Amino acid sequence: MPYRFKTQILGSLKSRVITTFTVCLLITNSGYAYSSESKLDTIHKIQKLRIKDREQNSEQIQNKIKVYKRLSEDLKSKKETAKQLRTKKFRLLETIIFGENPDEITLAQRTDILRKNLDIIQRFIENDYPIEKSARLETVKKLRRKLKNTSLSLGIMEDFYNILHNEVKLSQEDRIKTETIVIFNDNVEVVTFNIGRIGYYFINEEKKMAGLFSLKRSQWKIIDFETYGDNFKNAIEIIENSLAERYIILPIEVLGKTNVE
Amino acid sequence: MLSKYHATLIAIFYLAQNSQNLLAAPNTLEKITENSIKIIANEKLEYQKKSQKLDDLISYTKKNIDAEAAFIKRTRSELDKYETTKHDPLFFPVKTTKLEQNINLLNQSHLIKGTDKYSDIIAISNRIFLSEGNYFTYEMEKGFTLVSSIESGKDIQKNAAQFDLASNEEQALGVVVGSKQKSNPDKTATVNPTSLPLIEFINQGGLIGGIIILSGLIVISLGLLNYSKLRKFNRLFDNPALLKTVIFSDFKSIENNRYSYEQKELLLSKILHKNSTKLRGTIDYIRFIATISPMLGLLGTVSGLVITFQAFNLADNNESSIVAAGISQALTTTILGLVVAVPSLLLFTLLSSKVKLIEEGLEQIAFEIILDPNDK
Repeated sequence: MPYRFKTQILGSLKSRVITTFTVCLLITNSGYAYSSESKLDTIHKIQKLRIKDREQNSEQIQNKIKVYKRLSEDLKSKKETAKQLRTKKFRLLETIIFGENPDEITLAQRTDILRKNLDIIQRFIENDYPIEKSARLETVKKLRRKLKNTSLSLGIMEDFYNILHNEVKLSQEDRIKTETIVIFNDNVEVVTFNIGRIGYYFINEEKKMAGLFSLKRSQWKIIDFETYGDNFKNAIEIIENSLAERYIILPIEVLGKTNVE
Repeated sequence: MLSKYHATLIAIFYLAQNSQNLLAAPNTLEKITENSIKIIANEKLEYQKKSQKLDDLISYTKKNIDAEAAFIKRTRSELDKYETTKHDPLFFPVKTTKLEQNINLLNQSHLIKGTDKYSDIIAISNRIFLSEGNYFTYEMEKGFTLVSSIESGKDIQKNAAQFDLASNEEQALGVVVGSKQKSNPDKTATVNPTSLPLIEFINQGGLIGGIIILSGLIVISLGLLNYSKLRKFNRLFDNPALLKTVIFSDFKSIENNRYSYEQKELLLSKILHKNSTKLRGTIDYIRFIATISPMLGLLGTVSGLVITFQAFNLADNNESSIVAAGISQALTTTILGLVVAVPSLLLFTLLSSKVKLIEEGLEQIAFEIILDPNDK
């Protein structure tokens, strides 16, 4: 093959390969450029979504903060009211327990007064009718323990008031319940009722035996069922059904005689 | 000068370089997208955490508010209790009382020394108080009150006189047991309608009840009046000649005149209308009373209820028997109103139907008169 011909063929081939290669490169470049553009669009969309989300979230957070602030204000005002009421209650209880000018007595003196009075109440309950005795004694003992460890507080004053108030109230109330008592060393299930502190009575379940609690002897005492049986049943019916007041003859034990001016 | 070959090589090199850059670009964009998604996810998580924290805070604050509100309510009611309770001076304030002595009185019998106001009183606990054969109760607000409303007054006196404070054995003594509020005989009487006499029942109606009863009396008298009048009219039907003379006398006077048929018809209808008005008379008043008496009754009831609730409010207690008695009293006027209205309505219907019958009879006669050939 002559050299000139060979050069011509090779030259023409070279230029065609180069052109084809160039065209291919151009096409590939445009493809990549197009694909990049669509990806940028996606990024743009994502960013837009992100901004929108952030705005929404921020608004929701702001709203929640507002709600929280409002609630905090409300709580603050309620706490203030509660504090005022607590102070008022404290002052009122102070006046009820220690008199019109409670500031005249020091804190130590007040605590001492309560301690001494609690001792008196405990002694009284121990010698009193056994009406819910253990519960009453336990309340007093609990308060005494509290008073040993802490100084006078609203809770302590309140507890003391309730103890004394309930002891006084018990004298005016008539109660009825079923309980087990000891008669002649036997445990017997009976219905007991008390007419204030005038008397504490029982009648057995067969309604054939009745008695009263003797404070002098600190024990239950059998009474004549023929004389009082019906009266006991009537009294129980009246208390149980909160009926209108009636005059009923009951056995009453006299304890002590004190003159009161 | 650069040859074609060299220029082409430079172009290829340049394009290849660009291609490399462009190849790198999609990778970077993918990473940016991935990062953006990650950031969004993180932000969302962060927001959720913040939101949850705030929710927790809000719920905690709400719980606290509820707790404080409950405490305030409880404290207010306790304060109310402390303020309204009358405290026995024997026990409160403890600073100034001899608690040991006073508390022991709760389960002891004792003698309260008399003063100018009252004699010596034997007290058993703080529940029974006996003095000179009398039985007393004691309340902080009222002081000693003589028990007089309880049955067996003689037994009480006997007991009180015999009771011995020095005795070592138990003694029989009358004790008042039961609820004080339920023993008021006046209240029980007002809530028992069967035992209420008629006059008392009428009295309970008050002014409005009086007006209703007066209306009832008016209805009775109107009924009697109208009934006798209608009976008289009815009797006339037994004698048609007399009926024509009495009722249609005006027509008879012009009978001989030469009146046209239409003029005669007009004249007869005038006579019928006149008689109809006469017959109806005061029957409509009965209907009026029948309509208005239930309304008057209702007015009485409503005004009675208003007064009852005002009284209940002023009484400052929770006795439902007061309301029950008040409502029972207020309803009296409604009963009176209905008692008057129902018979009145029946009477009105009865009299109206009688009037209608008479009217129809008169119309029949009038029709006969017009058609009578002798009259032409």
